[in-house]
Amino acid sequence: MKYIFLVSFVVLSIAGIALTLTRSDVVGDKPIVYWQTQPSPEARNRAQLFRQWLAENGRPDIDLRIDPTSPNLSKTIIQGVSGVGGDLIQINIGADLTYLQEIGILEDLTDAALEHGFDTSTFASRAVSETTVNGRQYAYPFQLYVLLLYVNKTTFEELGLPLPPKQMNFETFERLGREFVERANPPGQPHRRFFAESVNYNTMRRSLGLDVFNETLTACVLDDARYERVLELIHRWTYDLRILPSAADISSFAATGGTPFGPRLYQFKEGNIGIIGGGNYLMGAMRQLGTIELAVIHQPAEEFPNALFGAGMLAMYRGSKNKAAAYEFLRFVASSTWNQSVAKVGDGIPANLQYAYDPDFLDPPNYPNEAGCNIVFVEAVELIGVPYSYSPFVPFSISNKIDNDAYQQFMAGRMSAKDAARRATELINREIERTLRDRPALREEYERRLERQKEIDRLRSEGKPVPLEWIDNPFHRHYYQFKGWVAP
Amino acid sequence: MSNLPLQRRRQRRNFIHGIGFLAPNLLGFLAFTLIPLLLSLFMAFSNWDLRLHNIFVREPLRFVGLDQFRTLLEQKDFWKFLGNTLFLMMGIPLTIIGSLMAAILLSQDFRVASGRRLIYLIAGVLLIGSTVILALAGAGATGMVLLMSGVVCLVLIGGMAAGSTVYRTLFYVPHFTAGVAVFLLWKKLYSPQGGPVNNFLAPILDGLADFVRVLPAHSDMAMLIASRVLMLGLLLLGLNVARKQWTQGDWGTIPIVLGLILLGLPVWYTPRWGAVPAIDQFFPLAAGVVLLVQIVLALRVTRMPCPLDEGMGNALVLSALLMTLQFALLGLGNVGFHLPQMAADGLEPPKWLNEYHWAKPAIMIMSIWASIGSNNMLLYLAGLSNVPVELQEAADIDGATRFQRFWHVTWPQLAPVTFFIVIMSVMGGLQGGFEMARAMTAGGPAGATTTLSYFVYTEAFENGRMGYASAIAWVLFAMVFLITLFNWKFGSRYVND
Repeated sequence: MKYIFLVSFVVLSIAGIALTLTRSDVVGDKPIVYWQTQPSPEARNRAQLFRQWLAENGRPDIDLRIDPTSPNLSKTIIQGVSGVGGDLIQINIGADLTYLQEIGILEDLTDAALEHGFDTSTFASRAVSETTVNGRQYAYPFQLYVLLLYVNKTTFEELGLPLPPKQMNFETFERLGREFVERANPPGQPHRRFFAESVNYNTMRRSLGLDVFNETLTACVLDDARYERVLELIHRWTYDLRILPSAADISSFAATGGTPFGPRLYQFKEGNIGIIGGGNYLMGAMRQLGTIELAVIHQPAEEFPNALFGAGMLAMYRGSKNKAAAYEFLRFVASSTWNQSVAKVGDGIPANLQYAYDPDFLDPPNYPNEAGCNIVFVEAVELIGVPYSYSPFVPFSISNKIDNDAYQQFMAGRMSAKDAARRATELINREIERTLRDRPALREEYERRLERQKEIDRLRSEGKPVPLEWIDNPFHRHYYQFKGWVAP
Repeated sequence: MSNLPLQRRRQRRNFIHGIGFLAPNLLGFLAFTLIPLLLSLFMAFSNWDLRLHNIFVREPLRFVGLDQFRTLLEQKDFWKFLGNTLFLMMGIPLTIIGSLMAAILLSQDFRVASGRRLIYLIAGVLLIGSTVILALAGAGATGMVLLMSGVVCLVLIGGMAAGSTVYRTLFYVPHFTAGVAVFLLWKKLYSPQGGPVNNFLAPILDGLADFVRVLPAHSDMAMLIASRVLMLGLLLLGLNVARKQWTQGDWGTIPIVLGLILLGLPVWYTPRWGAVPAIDQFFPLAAGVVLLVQIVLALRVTRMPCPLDEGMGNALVLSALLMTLQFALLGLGNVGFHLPQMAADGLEPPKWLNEYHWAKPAIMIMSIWASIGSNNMLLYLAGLSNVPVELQEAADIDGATRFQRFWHVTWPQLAPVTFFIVIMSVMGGLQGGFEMARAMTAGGPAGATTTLSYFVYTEAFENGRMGYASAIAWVLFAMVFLITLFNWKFGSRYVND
């Protein structure tokens, strides 16, 4: 027995050593770079384009490999803190960038960005706060997105309804929604067709001047009648008027067709949903379904028109073993080749907006059904896009989960709108206290901001303007400017 | 004497060889179990946070004493998630009963004489063939029903031809099917509109709605009162048994008190959860009268002495069972009261995973389905084959019925197996729910399916609070340990008896 054991041990050891020594990154003649991204045909096409770009520009060949990951950060975090992260990390919102930077796994790219001509002065100004932490650049924005609403024009035409206007307040949205579902669902039959797939409660409450956090990001302020109004409206639209599908209705869609972005696009194409939310990253998936006559409009909003804005970004892992090669890919992302490819494919808005005004991007020649859509996206980026707000005193994953959880509790009938708003506020503020207790080093900065907040509140109560640099919350920066509350 | 060094050398050599053989396992155990376990214990008392402590950021680790545990116990969500975990564990008794029944059924021989096998086989193939043709020819839903019936026939015929091995394999299939595949399949089954489960329920609920609409007036109140009377009856039954066992010295005072607490829970909750406060507020009063009568009756007779904790297992099992039935009646009474109102607009099937109150039962049903044919069934099958035939024969000769043979011979003989299954199921139940939450619901809706194990995961890998997650894990361990200790102390008696 012991000889069998010994032989097995020796064979396995030799096999292990042989495998290690023959790994392509050990014996290969070109460096390997791992790109953590969601696997998609577009990502593979861009990896191919990168190789062509290297060859065309006479740069050394690099083996770019896609390391599949999900939008959830768990894998990135676990790999990153274990020292085995992918060389390049895809990040979809600034809050995640801040979190990964806090963990310490991101390389500071400020100097590289200057060298590559892709520093914060070169791309859309609204993306700057997404890519930077404390004034240092940690990512390259490779495309921008803004969450608006797509309209299936054919569905409205078939029902004999006018197309919804580009901007709607809550009342108009409700009125048009009622007309739609009355026409689309014959009486006495199950209600299967909906006006819109969803609305964004964040955008809705922001349109009333309310955000999750206050101006200095030191406290959650959701315990407010404006949020209660938004919650009650969404509940009414979902369960009383049935102009929006409930979670159960959406779940039922899953049994009746699917696309890379879920069955919702299929339902949209079929006319069971008149309006669907998303960025222009949905264009590619919709093209796969055939020709859909599209228009793009804003989310329902009241006083302050706004849209959630974000950037797809590429950051570099601080523990990367192939930094030089990874920089080559970043150089490629900063190049006109990349930006032109984004404009050509049309699955995002080029980060450098000069490419976004390319006529072929605004009115893609091969897709006349999309004419006039991209300009609405581009204008929204420039005029109404506001990123998520996140506080340095509570991780975004936690505040967002609490916010979403309270919303779900309300929609499930577990609590009133007032209680949901109060619960979200209490829990987020408790998390802020907990962060300060766990990380005393943050206390000083917190106290400083708290003092500033008091001063802002005083000035506002007196109806006086506030210096813009006092405001940390990106929403309030835009809102104050919109309201003319900024000191000259 | 001269052989002593030689012997020692041999012993040493054998020792080295032994360690060599064990080394891979020992090293694996040390690296992946013992050291992480000790590390997590240490982490539970520290402020370990991924944002502050990793290979890139090295802030000094602080000892925070019991802070993490204090925060945990103060957090409402922890109690909610513990409640979710315990709720899902309520399926364990049903699972065990199901596994036992499956094992008893599968220990029978279903095979028929070899001459008839060919006939059954030909009949089966013809049936399946015709149903497939019907389905393909466009018979639609009818074709699908026929196809499903055909498959069932084939299974039955297969069992007759090849014996219980076919059924054992079929029952065991859920256990060796990949978990995620099963979860996704159930997610489709539970689809609120167009899902097979609701397609099956819809016509039944339509029929029920029609039936309820023609019920006479006040039938809602009658159903409610009937349920409360039945609840009182169950309480009376429990108290009656408890009194007799206590006076006869079969149950000690501790199990009586614990049993009364369990029986009292539905009494406590009835005025709070009841559909008609005007009626339900009198329920505790009626229950109090029943209790008082039983106490008076108990004190009138001389009690046989017994240890304080005597009869713990039986008392808890009976009380838990009666408590579950009382709660079921409480719920049924409430539903019965609201049924005419609900039926007026037609009864809709549940929205299962998308509805707060149905998400947990939906997962529980799936778990029961998956667990009935699991290792529990195999253990019972093995246990049944070890029941001495002579005991069964002796009972048979004494004129025992089939049920009496099972209750007085088979069931006691299976006690060690049941004891093992209960311990393993409780441990698994407390640690379970992660895969379902991850694959089916992401812990929702509104946290309805978040269990403690999923809570550990989100705190550690989504929020980066390793110290806090470790504290949750150790609290979970403490609960598993205490319950196992309790089982061991009181359950093992039945095994040894």
